[in-house]
Amino acid sequence: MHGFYLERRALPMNTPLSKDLVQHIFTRGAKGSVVVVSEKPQDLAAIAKKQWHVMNRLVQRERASTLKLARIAELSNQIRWMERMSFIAKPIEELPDYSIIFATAEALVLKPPICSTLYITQEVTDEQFHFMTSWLHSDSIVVIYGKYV
Amino acid sequence: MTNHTIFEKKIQTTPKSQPGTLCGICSGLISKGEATVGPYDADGNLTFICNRHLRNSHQLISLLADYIVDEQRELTHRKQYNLGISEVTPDAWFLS
Repeated sequence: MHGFYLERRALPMNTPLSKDLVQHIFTRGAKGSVVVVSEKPQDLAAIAKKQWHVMNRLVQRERASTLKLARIAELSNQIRWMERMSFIAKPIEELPDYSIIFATAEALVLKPPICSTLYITQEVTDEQFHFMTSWLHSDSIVVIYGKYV
Repeated sequence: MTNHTIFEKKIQTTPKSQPGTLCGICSGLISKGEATVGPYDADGNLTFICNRHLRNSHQLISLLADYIVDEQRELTHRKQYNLGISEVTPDAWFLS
């Protein structure tokens, strides 16, 4: 193994995957690029983008309602970061820092990503998992939803 | 497993079922099974956040912002007084 941290997540009742995914990405903050493995990358990218905008509006509302200067500055940074994030539903050679890439496991096996956070939302085999995570750094995080075979 | 606590006072050797960790934003003790990976702290260590904070977006946004501000202050303080910064500089994870 490569030393990355592995987190296993189970979706709580009545929480869509896209919402939990967006909240998780938000807690990780601006830490480089994010890759999401999904059976239907384009569909998930579209829904996650919508949830991201909802989250961004909540952060804007929080900034408007707070009086603490330091918190306002931090929330402004977060808003800037959230607006800079792009949602891409195809694997590309070099991942830009402020991007969330959605792709299938098959595509990522051929081009293993170098990213700070990798989310696995579909079932993948041990071999696919090994190939997909082969280029991750030791400080990367892999989040697995449900089980992988 | 042998329990060594029977005749020894104030020493507890019974293993916990799951290693616990502190929530980065509320400092509550949680098991890693109910924690979410959070941002890096001022020491460059990975922090964890209670899953229940994620269910309340308003609480998550405000507490996380406060937490990052505190860590940034800590980092600035260390830089100012040359108190040493770990090799993995956590400020790389924060926007400035």
